[in-house]
Amino acid sequence: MSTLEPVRERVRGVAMTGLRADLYRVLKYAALIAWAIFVVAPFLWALSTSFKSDPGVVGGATYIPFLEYEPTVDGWTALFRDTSSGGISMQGPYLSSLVVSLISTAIALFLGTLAAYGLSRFTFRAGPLGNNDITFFFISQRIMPPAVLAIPYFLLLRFTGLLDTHLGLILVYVAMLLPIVVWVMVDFFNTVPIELDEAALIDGCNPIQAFYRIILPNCAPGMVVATLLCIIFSWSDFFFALTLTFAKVQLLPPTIVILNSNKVPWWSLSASALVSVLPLVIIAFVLERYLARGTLAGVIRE
Amino acid sequence: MAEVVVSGVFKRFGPVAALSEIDLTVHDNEFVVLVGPSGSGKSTLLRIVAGLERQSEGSVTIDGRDMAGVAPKDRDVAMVFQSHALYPHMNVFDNLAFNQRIRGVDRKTVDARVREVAERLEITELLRRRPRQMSGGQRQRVAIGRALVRDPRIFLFDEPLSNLDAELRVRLRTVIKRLHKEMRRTSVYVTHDQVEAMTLADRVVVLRDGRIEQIGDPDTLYERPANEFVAGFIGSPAMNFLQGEAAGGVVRIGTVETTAADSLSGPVTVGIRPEDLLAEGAGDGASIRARITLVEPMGADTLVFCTTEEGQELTVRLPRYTAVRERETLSLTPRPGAVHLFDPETGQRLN
Repeated sequence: MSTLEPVRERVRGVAMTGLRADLYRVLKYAALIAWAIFVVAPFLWALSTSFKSDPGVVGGATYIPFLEYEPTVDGWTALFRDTSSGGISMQGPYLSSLVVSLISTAIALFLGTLAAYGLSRFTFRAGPLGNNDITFFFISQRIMPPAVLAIPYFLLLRFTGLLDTHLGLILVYVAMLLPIVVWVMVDFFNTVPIELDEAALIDGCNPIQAFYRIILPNCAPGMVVATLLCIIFSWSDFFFALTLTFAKVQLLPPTIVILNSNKVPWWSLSASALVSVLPLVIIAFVLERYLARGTLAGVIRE
Repeated sequence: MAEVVVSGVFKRFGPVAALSEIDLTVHDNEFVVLVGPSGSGKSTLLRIVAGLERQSEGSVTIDGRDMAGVAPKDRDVAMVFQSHALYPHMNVFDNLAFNQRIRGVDRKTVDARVREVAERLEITELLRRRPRQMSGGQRQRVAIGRALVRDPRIFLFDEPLSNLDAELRVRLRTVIKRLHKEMRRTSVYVTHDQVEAMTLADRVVVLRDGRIEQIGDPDTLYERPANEFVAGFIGSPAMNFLQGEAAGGVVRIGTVETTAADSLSGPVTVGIRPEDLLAEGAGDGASIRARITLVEPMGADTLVFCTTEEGQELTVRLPRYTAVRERETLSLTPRPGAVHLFDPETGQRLN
């Protein structure tokens, strides 16, 4: 019988660690749930508010539809109604925002990846300055707060006649996004061994083909990160959109903010806020699966 | 037909000369191995032939055509890298097919060629795999396959086996040798491993500090090294070097004498390979006496490490069944005619 003792010992040991593991798991989930509520609650609140009207908002917090407030889709239909009939006519600004942010993102990605590839693969010299200085120069564009740049940009665009145009805003955004792309992509290109470029060159590629057929596909996660950052920045920029466009071109963020006037239509404000995050959510979902793929594992024998 | 002529090539990185005065002709169908310690410039030379690096001076011609300004893709060379450099985002089939597709070869031909090469290298069952799903040896096989599919004029190998373990290295070495026997393509192979150099090469080029020390077939290099560096570099275990004194047609090493040219006099460095030291029994006077410090049975033969009375370390390769024990004393004599003499100052061969 004595031979059984250690076995029982072990079984009890397992039970103990099992209990501890359970406790740990409970705490872990509790923390995560708390955080999730903290993050999601504002969206839920906006969602509920978007179906309310005056009485449901001004009289204190109401939660349950039909019981505590009468749900209405007025907040949502107002998005598409003309301003003359009390709506905010969001389609125009929405489309403008999409066009401006997608085009500036595309241009910034195109120029930025090429610049980053060059900085990663070739040695540049300008007197005492080398590649790292050039990279820093790119990134340093972002040190200045946008407020400092607003007036120079304003004068620049007025001088070139691009004030209050899509093109002017796109140019400004490209300047703003380029450092992000260069910064992210230089890092990614540096992790791709140069032998891949060389193998491609010998296999029959010219340098441009080597870049987009071999190197770029292996930097997909970097491209995704850069794309997401660019779209987020350009889509949600308020400052330049406010200062550099007024009448002809109207972007989404200022349009929404301007709703905060004398009598705030909380329901439309909530609805437009929800609609405005939609593109980001969609893009994040589409691109997310490319993020995790560690395509580079096994390029070089570890 | 593919002849590579490298003439008067220098390569400088800033003030540092990586290659100096390189003259080398690789004949048609020849397998030439560039060997040397790290930093000897062997990879740089290969990369200049490939077009991945540009020489500071001198010229490279392939089949009489000057390669100045010719892009790597237009030189009709294929290269196998030390790091295999397979494209991680493609499976093996696409890796092998890539160079054909980019050159616009039609799909049917590409397909047939890839399958043929895969069969030849026994990697057919790997065709759907990604590089990261394979072992080091499999990856390097695929890398060799990628070069084979091309059927290029010239094969370049940049230390292709250096990252593999010993057993795989030997196995892939024979694969490469057999392929060369079958295909007969001009090949330039870089390695720091002198055994690889000796086993693969038609001719070996020994490099040190960016200069060619000697060019020759493996036997010549082994039997008549041009200088002390080559003598010490080629052969494993390395050649023994002893101090000797030449006078009147004789070189004296301690009490041992060997013949030499009459004109030779003064101190010389005597090189004797481990297998050229004979343990001919004890005591008859004219021998190098050395105490055994370590015995390494290798199977086919036995390596004996010993120290002479003057405190010099010697390595001796003895036949398999020689009964030797540590702390015993050996009486060694050099095999007649197998003694290499070098100038102690310049290191150049004297006999």
